[in-house]
Amino acid sequence: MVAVEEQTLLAELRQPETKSRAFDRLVRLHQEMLYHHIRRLVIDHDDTDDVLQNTFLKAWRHIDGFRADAKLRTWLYRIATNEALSFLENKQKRQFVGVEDLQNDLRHSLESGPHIDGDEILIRLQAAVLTLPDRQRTVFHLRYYDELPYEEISEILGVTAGALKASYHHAVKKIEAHLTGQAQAG
Amino acid sequence: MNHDNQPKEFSEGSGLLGSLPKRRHAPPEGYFAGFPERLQARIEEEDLLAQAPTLLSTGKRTPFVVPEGYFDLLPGRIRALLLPAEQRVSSIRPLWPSLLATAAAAVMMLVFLARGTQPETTELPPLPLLTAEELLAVVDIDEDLIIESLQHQDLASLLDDVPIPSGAPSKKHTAPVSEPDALFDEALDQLDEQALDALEAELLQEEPVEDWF
Repeated sequence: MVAVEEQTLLAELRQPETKSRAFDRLVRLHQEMLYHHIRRLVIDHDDTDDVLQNTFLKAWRHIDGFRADAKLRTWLYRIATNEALSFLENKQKRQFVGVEDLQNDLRHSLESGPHIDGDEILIRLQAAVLTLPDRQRTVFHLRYYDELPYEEISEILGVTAGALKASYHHAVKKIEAHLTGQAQAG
Repeated sequence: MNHDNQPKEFSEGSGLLGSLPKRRHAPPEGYFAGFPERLQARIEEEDLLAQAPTLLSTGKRTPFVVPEGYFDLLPGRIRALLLPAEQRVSSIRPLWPSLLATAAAAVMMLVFLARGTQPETTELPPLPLLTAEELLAVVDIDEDLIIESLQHQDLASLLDDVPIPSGAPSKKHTAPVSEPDALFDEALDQLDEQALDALEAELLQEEPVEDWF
């Protein structure tokens, strides 16, 4: 989004009489990007829908406090990431299960849930990504799929760009090893 | 580029081209500040992905399917969630009269039960008659709903003033109820307890069953 457009949108979001319409525009502009980011983390479509709605509700409630020292996109990514990771954490607590059980649960959704394309290699890749810790797979998704610069991921996750780079390199190597290991076994 | 071949009207300083301001496309602010680092990171990443051919072979596709029309409907659903409470009230307006009726029935039932648990006396204490305010104090009902409903009632009373065409059944057709009621009460006073019980039983039997529900 061009900086001038973003400034206009922000100005409209801060005016009570234009806020509602401007927010509608904000939703339309960012809904797909945020949906896919959340979906890759929580896997299930219905869960994604819940988390995405919460993300926009939070954005609506806190838009007046947005200081504009970051881009709107970065801010929304940050809210969405927090919401998705909190959702997974709460899910784990609700079900009284460990990290591995949660991973199995997500893997089950991936392999047999609705709204999943049956392409085997794509499912295998996502299953490999699921073996990573939540934060590391967030880094992987933001860099590999969304192609965000490390500086922006750093703002989203509150981690230094150097640490992110190292995390991403590790993630790629682990995923490749997982995929080739499976390929040899299969 | 050979500028000598340009037609005269496009040559510098004349015609349309000459009138246009000479401006370069400005990159976003700070674009060149981190450019070398970004380029270096890109090269490193290309090298890294070259070592992960299986990952690279999948491209950037995912198996996640979005239900058809989901993104068309989402903005509307979000908008509905953000609607102020007063705008959402209209959708539940038809429910409040039944809520009030249920609440009133519950209050009457409580009064009845309270009477039933008291020791028998020759004279029953007078029933506590609740005013609308007292009833509302007992039952938690949104004031906005009530105001809205009263506004609807005002409309209904305005309709009462609309002249009724001749031939249509008149509202005044129904007999005034005050006089027969008084006579009926007087007759009841003259009945003894046994006769009252019998009358009550008879009335209950005559009541159509479907009216109980």
